[in-house]
Amino acid sequence: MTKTILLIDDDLDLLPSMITLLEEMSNYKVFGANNGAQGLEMAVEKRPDCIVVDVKMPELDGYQFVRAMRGDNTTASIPLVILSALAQDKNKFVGLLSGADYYLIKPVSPRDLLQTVDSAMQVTEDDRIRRMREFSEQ
Amino acid sequence: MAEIVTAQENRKAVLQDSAQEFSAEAYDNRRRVITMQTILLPSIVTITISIFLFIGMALSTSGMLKMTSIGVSVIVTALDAMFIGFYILSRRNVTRFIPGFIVAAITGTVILVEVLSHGMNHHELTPFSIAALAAFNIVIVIAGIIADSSILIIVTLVATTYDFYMIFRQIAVHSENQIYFTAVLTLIIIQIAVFLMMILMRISNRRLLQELSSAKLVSEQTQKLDEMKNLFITSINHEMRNPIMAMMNYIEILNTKHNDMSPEKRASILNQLQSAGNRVSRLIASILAVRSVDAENQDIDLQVIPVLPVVTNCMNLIDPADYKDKRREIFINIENSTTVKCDQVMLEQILTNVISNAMKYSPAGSPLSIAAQSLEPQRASRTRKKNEAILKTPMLELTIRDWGLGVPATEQSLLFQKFSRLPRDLASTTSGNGLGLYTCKTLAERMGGSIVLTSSGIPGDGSKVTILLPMPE
Repeated sequence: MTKTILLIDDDLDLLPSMITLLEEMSNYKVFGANNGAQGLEMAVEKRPDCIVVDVKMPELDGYQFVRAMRGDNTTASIPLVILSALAQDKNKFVGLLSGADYYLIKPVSPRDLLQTVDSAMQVTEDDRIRRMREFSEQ
Repeated sequence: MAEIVTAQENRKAVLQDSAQEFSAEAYDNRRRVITMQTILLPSIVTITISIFLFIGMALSTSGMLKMTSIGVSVIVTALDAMFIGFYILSRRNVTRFIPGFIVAAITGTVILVEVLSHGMNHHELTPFSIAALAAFNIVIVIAGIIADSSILIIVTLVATTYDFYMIFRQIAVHSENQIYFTAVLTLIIIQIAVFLMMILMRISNRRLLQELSSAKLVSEQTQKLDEMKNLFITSINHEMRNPIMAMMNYIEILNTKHNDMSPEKRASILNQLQSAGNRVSRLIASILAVRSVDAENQDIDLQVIPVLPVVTNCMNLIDPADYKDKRREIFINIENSTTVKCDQVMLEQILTNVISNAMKYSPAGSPLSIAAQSLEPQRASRTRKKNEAILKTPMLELTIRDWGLGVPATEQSLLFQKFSRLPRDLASTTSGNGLGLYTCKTLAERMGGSIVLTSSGIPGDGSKVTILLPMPE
């Protein structure tokens, strides 16, 4: 069965480029959303196998989106990758603490993006529990 | 990556240019001169006096007095040398304490000399007169430590007067007493010198305070500019990352798939690649535009040109990304015959900026109006509330009115500053670099015009940008 990926970014150059990239370079089925709220609707409706989400967006930001996803039992196990221009350690920390599996800083090379999406889909629930435990120890 | 590096280099150059006028180095130099005046000058005066005291006392006959005055003047000179040395070594701002030390050193000498000389010549001296002289000088010491006060000057004056009284009294009774005469005369000279020094210090301290307050202002401005720069950097940083990543994606696709791709698909990808590239190039151009505006070396070519074609042309130049909705109604109320005297390229730059702002900061579907009206010299003062001066020549008033968010009154003054963006825009995803209106203002002023924004600040009521430009006479 073809895996589906949801891309959420408000940038009108970047979003189409990522959609084309994933369509051309992988076997995934790709959906795109322009903002967090629309992304949330599509996530619930399509149940993608992985979501790549930006942070600074209108309506609902990336952190809120990730927390909303993890807070809902039906979407809690979907692999999440944050892709943001916010490059500081604290942004990364907040992103991972919110429940994202990976935090990528723009610009990311296309190969790294594809690889990260692949790796995110390998993350298991045990991995997440272990990561959260490490966070709480820090 | 090279584009980012170049853009960063350019930005750095722009920022360095604007920071230059607030150079901290100039301020340090000025402070050093003032410190020279307040510390070194009094110190040199004191050393001269000490040497004078040393010679005067050395020539006197009393062995005890001789030894004391030599000792004391050596101490004073050593102290002063130490202060100067300390100043040169540390270069710190010790102005606050050093005048006090100097005064204390001088007055200490004075007290010793006075008490000793009085003690050796009992004739007309009472314990009271010795105590009174000593008390005056102690007050000077205390005042000197506090430094920089009018009391110090008054006290020195009173002490000098009292010494004059003492010397005339002594001369009247024992005019033959040479040692005593020399000692008190020296004392008077020292006190006059201290008095002059106090006045000098007061003057330079006041100047120092003025310098400090203006320096504080400069540092506040620098800090504000710094904050604006940081915001600018953050926003440019964010703006650059997206189109560059998009370009990387398209290049990767073309690189690996160009053989098994339909010509249409390839054309579409190339098209999008170009659009992302243009965006990066526009970002760099906007930074460079400010640089050239600042450099003021751009030639102005003032010509009489019709306004309407320029406005229509600008509408085509505006980035389609800024049109949130193509169904927006745009009312253009400009007569075909309206002309203006300006540089066409500059006017285009201003209009493109203002119109695209109006579109960017108003909701999709809301109308936009662009109108031109000529202002006759006599009419101008009546029609414009905030008019700075009565117009001497006919001007063209171009107004661009939108029904968007508007600008709160408190933030209107920020708009035309370099790198400034409104707090709400920084929090939103609306792109911008905070340079547009600054550029507009500079260009309008260089063509002999002006640009102002009026807005009630109520969202939905929008704002009106008024551009005044000279009309052909």
